[in-house]
Amino acid sequence: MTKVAHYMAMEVINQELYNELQKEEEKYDAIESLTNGLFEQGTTIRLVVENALSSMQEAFQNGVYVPDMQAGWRKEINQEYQNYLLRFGYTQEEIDILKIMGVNITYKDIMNLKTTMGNEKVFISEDYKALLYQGKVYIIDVPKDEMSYQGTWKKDGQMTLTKTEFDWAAGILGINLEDIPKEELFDHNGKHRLQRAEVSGKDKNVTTAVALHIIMGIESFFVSSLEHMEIKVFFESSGNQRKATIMVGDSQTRLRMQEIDYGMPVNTYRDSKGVLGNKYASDYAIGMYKMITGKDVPDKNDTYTITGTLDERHREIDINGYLSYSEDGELLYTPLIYAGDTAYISTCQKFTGYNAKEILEFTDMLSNSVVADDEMKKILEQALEKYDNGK
Amino acid sequence: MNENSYFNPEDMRAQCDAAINNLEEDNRANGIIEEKIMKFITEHTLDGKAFEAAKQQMLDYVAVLHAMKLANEADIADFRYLKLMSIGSEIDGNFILSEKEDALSERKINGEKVEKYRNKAQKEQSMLIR
Repeated sequence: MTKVAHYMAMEVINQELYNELQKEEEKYDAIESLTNGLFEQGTTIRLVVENALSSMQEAFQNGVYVPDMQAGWRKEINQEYQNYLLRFGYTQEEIDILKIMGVNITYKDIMNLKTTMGNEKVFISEDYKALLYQGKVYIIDVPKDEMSYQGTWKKDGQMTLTKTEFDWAAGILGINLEDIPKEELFDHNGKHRLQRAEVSGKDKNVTTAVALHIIMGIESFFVSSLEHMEIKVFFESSGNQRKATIMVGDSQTRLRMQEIDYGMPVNTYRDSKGVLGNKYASDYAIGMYKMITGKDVPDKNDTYTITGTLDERHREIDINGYLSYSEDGELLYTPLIYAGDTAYISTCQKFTGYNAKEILEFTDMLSNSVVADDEMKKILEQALEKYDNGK
Repeated sequence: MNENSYFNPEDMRAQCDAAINNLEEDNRANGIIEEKIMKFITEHTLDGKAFEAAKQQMLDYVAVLHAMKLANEADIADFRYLKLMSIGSEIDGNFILSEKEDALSERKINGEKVEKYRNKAQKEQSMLIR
């Protein structure tokens, strides 16, 4: 019996040794399979580089470099930046959506995406179409219909920028907030209103966008002062899509919005004070008419005013508009407009301002975007990049 | 795995570190070249077609530099991953496969011996009973 037990024990030992060795073999195979795709992308990109260099060498004609802007290597390099997103947990479907939305990921974007991992920093993509947040690309969205960002979107994150961040960013950039050019504008009381954002002649729609704020008697349409401004960014996702909404609020404007009598139609001439105020209100309406139509008002001797209505929903919301970027990378402000907001150029009685007759509607222009000044753009960019949620 | 398979995690980690260092060094150098090119382009604002062509040529080189840097970045990330996978003890395919074979044949021999002595014991027992 002892011999049987002995050889049975030996058999068990042999089996255990075999199992141990088998485990080692499996471990080796696992490492091999987990690592066999490594260095493939590096190799591919190096081939693309070689291809690019040789096609650049062929681009010389009579000793002058004649670049081929349609050269295949440009697309190949771009493709590799998109592919690199796979390393940030992107799926092919998500990459395709970015392509459809026209977001072009660059080398700088990839490096910035890397920087956003594990913190709250935010970068603007090099093509100004998206915000880079937590290793993901969020396309900048300006809601078309009121608060359209509600719905099936899931909030991935949020950040809030206030005076502290702006002051700090301005300090880093060496910008004195007091030095930001302010363009003067008169309101319907004949008072000087200071405009932070650039009311430049570049964009014909600029002043129409200001109109809503003039109607509301609001200090300024964009940044009455950085002191009062708050920028909130929502990062949201839904399926394979991600979007960022940059909302601007301003405490002064908010106060005004809560005071407004929404039941009462607006009439800037009627509501202005004194002869001077009346004159400015009429002149402003005349100027607006010319800006919109390109023509003079029908009768220069008539009295003009801006009339309209304001949607009561303004009272309940703490944002005034949205920020986004133009194709050229200019910072744009788009006012938040509700269905109940309307605006007209009207004629009215000279002494009372009553009996207003609408002669031109420009409601659809209220939601036109305005270009913000360059300093503001830089300050925002800086504040976003260094933001780390109070950390 | 085959007889030529060999994996030494410690050596692998050291090799990964060395490669990462080299690639990072390479990217630093690429960064300096890029900076110089961009500085040249922004400082020299000469008009004329020839300069425009030269400028585009340099911008194209920067585009290629970026791609090279990305290739290095991709490899650095892969070396980091490989390093992460390189844990445990040395694995030698030749040793493991032959040892496995030995263990199997030993087990077979021992199994046969178990059979043999069990049968023998049974025979002895039945003789005893009888």
